[in-house]
Amino acid sequence: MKSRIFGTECEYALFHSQGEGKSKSRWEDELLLEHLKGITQYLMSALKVVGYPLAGEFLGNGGRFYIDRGAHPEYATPECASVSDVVAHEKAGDRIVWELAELAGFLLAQAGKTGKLHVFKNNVDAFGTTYGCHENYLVAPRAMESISFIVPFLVTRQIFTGAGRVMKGGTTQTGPFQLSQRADFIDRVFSDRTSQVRGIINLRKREIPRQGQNRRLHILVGDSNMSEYALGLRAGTTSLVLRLLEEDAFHDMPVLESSVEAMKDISRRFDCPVKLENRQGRYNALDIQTIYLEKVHRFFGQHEPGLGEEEILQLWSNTLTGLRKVKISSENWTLEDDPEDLKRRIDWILKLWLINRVQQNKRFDWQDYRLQHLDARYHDLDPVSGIFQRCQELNLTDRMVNDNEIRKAKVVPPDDTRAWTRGMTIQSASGKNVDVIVQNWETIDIVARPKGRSSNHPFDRHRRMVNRLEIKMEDPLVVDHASILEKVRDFVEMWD
Amino acid sequence: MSKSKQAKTGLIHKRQKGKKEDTPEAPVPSTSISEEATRQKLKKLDEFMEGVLQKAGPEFLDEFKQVEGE
Repeated sequence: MKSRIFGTECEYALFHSQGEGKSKSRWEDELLLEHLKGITQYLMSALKVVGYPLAGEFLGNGGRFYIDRGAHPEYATPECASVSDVVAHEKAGDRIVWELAELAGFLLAQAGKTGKLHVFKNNVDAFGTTYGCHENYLVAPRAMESISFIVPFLVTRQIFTGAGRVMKGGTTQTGPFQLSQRADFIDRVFSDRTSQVRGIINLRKREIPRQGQNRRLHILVGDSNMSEYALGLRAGTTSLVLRLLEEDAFHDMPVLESSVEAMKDISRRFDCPVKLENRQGRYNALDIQTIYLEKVHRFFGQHEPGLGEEEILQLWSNTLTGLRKVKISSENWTLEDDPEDLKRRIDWILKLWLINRVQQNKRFDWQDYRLQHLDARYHDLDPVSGIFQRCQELNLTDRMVNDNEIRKAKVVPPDDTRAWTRGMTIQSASGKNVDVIVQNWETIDIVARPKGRSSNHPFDRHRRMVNRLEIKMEDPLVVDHASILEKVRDFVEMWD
Repeated sequence: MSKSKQAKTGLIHKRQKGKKEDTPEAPVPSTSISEEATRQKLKKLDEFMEGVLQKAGPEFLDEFKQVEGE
């Protein structure tokens, strides 16, 4: 499949600092949930006040903002057809969530609730509770037949997609620092659930009836990246590997003896050897990534690359070359060498470098609780207090998209997927005499409101059933904006 | 290198001290400018991190508690 659809879903952590040492450590989950739910109500109020065109939880840029399990605000990007679009839209989501939190903070203060509201884009709290960042890829049916070939790639890509994690009271067993925030929370390779038991790949039952059609591949194992390059590499390299799966171009690929164990081991030490079922000798994550990279290189020696595929291939190759030169002390997790300056692009390397710098300046050892604080603050979306944000402002990171592209993605849907139809429908019907009901990612109903009468007229229910326009967008790759949007405009004008 | 960019690095002021009006400006090695710029950036970063650490009380680890997500 040359045209890929990408999307991500990020769960964020709300942290309302009351600054009075009000410990939540002893709170039961139910009490904590009530507390967090209370804050999310302010976020939803902020969504109404801030003025984005929206229909329920769906926004005029085609994305979705909602409150998910565990009272986590979640942003799902619209369907994107390029790596740069998915990066811009995920970063746009970060900014939308931060704007809502900032406004919610004012609303909380107005309600007499003191303290500062922070939003962290990470995957684990100080108590080891996790929340996710999932990826979605549209794949051809053939890829699903041999999907297990992608597993070693997904297990080892954390060497460039890991967000880095300071371990609480790091022991010799767990290490003081891990590459990935999610590795410790993955229990199996495949699962049909997304909580309590987590697979690397989530096989949702509702996707099974779609055999023979393009399907959504749902990946649970990714970290929440702050770096635009890490986001781009995550989506781009995964898409390249999927392309080869679809073309049946993977043969004699490495098979891990235990994918779950390997994921945890690599997270603890990025050059750790892992056991393979079908190969003798020592292989580490870099070696396995190199096997995939070489297969993809060979494939594109004979096949035409799709949109942006050549650039991602080059970026992947450069990243692996740079990682081969990275040196980390096995004694104290000090970044000793990074000659290709990968800290500008890879979250875990930047985080480790920052922490090492603080350790050097302040003589902190790995047991110091302040390092965990720094870990969380790296992911703080507040441009004033977020560490990554500050690094970006100081030009210590490389950018894959620019601020204009991110600003645009906050309000304009991608024009080459069905997200355009959804977003423009929401925008054109916003403030008119119709209700837009986005039933799901595939269906929108536009229902006329009663004209000039109270809404409790006895025939209103029947009128609303008749005076309704249903828009179906089953295939995300089919773009038929013009004819659908003309119908929407006609319908809206008729009832306005 | 434009004057405004040099001014940001702070080098231009040092070099102008005691310099005659008609003396052509000595070429500034670009590596020393970039090194100075990097030093300035890292200084700002360290100051920022110091500010973050000032607020890093032990209560943070007690307060930053979430409910399991997906």
